[in-house]
Amino acid sequence: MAQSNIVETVDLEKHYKNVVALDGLSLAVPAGSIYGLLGQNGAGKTTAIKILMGLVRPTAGGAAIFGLPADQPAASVAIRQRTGFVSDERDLYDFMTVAKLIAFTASFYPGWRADLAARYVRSFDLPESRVVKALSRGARTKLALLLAFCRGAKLLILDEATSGLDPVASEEVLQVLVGHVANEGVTVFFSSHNIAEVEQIADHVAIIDRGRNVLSGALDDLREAYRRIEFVFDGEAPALKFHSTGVVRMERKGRVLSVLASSGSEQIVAEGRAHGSLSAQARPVTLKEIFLDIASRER
Amino acid sequence: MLWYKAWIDTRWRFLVALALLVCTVLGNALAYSSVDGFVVALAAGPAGPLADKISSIAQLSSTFRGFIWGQVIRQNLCGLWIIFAVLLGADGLLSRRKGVIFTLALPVSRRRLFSVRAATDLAELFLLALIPMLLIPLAAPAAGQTYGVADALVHGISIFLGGAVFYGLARLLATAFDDRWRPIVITLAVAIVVELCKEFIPMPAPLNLGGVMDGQRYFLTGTPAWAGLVIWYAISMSLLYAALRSTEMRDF
Repeated sequence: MAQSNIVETVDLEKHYKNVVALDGLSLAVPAGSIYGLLGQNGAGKTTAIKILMGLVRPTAGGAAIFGLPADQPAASVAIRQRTGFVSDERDLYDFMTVAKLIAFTASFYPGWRADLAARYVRSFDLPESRVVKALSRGARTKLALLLAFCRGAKLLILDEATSGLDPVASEEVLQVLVGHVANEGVTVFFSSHNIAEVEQIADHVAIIDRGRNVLSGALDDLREAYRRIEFVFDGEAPALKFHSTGVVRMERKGRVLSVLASSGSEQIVAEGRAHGSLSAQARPVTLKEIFLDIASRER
Repeated sequence: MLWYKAWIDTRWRFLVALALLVCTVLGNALAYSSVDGFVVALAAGPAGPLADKISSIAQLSSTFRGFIWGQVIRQNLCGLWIIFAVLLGADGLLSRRKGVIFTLALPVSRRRLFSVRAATDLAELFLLALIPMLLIPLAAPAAGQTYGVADALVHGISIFLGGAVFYGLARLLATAFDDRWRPIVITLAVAIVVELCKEFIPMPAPLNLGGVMDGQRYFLTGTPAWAGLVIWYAISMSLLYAALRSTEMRDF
């Protein structure tokens, strides 16, 4: 596996009895990136992350972090030593106080950043003497982030880090995350079903559906490559067959034929005109449009 | 810190169990003087099968050592100890409770997590067997009796080494079921079967788990049932190893 990629999965599969959670998932997370794993609920995001963290064993395929195989116990311990992780459930010890949980977690990491922990306790306004069970969901998320940030990790894996938070708390968490990445230079691999959130902070993205990677790449490249082309015809829009390979999806509505293209938009425009369209207009698309189109195509 | 967490996870069950066992043992031991007079009356009662059974129990209780073995160890201590062993075992480290994903995401192998918790449980169970027994020699003078420290040690160790198999079984079952109740119910059902076998089915002494656990041979002959203790402790360690392997292979 390439060393420039901190996280890499190859044809990863996970089957639970009759359910296929992952169906040949391949991902490559470049070092230094903020990589968003986007998918609907049940797409396989959490399963993929659990395999990377050694919580679930893959049925087939490979997963590696820092070049270490995630499914081997000794390598998994080494991975977890260098990785900060926040689970989607913010699974913490409810019975411990904030201060005790911080001390408990710190004892497992020789590179624990006590200075950073003290700073985040203050900036997150975390009550150190309060038991975790009594924290609000927002405070619980902040504590989970603090525990992930301060272990001196080179990689942060966050599973739906902002789910269940109100917009203000969610924005605050994202800002803290971006600030931490900027200051510490870590790689972030995070899952979300919130497109706006991914678009806001990620520089790389993968869209997964039913356990497969259906689209991935640098977000700027995707934005650059994808175009929505709308052809207007004199009468009912015909069901065209384009020769260009970049056509992702077509939709006809009366006189309008709408085409989502992943590449070669000029060639598609030329083809549409050759088929008699009165006008053709190509415009950039948002990640949301791409995601919704891909999701509906996959249904 | 893992040891600390294991202690935090188990301390209330341990302390409650210890209090209950100590009260049971001391209560019985200190009440011996009143039982002593009752025994004499029972021994002079009418003839018949039930009377014979009552008479044999009465004869056993005619000495303080016999009373402790028959009434305290066999009737109370072994049964209560098994219940607490099963409760500890069924609440395995990795049962689906809050905090398990956090624990598993720490840079510690599942083997170490499992071993620390099992060692903590076994240490607590050892103390639960030994402390109540060692209190008997201390309390005996208050009832006008004496009880040997060696007797207390041998019976305490027998309860622990023989009974650890119930902990191992509960621990193994806890890795197979997501809920806490099935391991408890199944293991306690096995304990009841073992008790019935002890009473009604003749079998070689080392295989008679109930007899090994209550130190029957030591009480009757003065020699501990070493073979039985070794066999059953080895079985309990095998069950624990199977539970460990199951935990290592499991998805969370």
